[in-house]
Amino acid sequence: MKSFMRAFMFSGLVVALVCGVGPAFADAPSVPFKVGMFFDVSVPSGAALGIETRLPRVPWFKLGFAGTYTLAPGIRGNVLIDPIKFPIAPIANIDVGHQFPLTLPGVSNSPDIDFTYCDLQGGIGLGNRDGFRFMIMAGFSYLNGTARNFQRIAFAQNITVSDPHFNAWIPNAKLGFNLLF
Amino acid sequence: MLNWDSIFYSNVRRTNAFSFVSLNRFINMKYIFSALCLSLITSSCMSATLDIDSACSSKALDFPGVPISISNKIGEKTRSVSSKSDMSATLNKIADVADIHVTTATLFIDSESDLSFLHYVRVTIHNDSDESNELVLSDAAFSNQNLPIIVDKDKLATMLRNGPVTMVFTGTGNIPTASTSTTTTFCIGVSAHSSKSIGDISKH
Repeated sequence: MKSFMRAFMFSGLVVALVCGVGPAFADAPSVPFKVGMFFDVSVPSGAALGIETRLPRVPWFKLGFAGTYTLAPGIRGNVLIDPIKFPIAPIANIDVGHQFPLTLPGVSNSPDIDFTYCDLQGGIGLGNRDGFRFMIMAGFSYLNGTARNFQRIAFAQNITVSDPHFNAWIPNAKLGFNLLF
Repeated sequence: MLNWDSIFYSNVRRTNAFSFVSLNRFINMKYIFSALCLSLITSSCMSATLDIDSACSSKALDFPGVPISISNKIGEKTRSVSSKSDMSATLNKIADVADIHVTTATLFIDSESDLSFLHYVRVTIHNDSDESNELVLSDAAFSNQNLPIIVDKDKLATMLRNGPVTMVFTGTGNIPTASTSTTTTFCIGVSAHSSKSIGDISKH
């Protein structure tokens, strides 16, 4: 049990180190700028297809931008931290995205729901960090949005309801790959 | 000895100092498994908050005038009028999936006529099914069309969810003989919060 707790604490430490090592490698050897593409399926983004760049000097740090689609289009930017050049390695990811208005299937007179979200994810990367990398991740998403035209839902006579705002923390999961050319 | 450059940079030639054993130790599967477990445990619950700034019920009311027989008597007169509304279906729909709280309540009286004859207004509310249990919504001198709300919001939420309600407006002042057309608008702000684990969600 003690060693399990230590392992948990170590996991947190790894995440903290990953976030903190960037400045320490300011004098690091230069690596070429690389561009690639990625595809993933996740909650709440849906399917995402985009381009990814690996910046010089920080090969473990990848920036991406994607178009997403669930029941309606959306956009998403991400920072992928892939610190270890090894066929199997822990990875961390932060997404910030926006889902354009969608209507819920099966709900008559569904309000238009749009939201902005931030995903915090950790997981495993399999494959070549500088080439094809398969990724499986899980974590949390914070959503903040509005249900527009809420009045469309049948309310009692003489009741008017303003558009509600919502925010939520929900679990997320992501499955996908990136490919640097 | 772990050669960090070999791990982080693809264009740095690995030296003899690089040890696969060290790297293997570093990314020990136990730690990766722990990180995944941590992610899954923390992500096994969700919480959501829904804020509705206003849900309003508007009614046209004719505030009755006093009979001519007593209109000339000295002193202020009192007249009452009641108004029914029902927000229970709306609130209960939300309450089915979340704990709801009434965050704000406002009561507004509007009229094309001059309401300055009103000096004091008291508004009570009760469920149609239980008239004995009434709450005082507002009880103050009439200074503007927004009536100050004094009711406990949790009690108000319970009452509104219980079914149709009747609001009784009692006005005191130099009430004219003719009735006065008014519109009353009663609004509440609602906050609904729900926290569920994945287990709870799957049970539903």
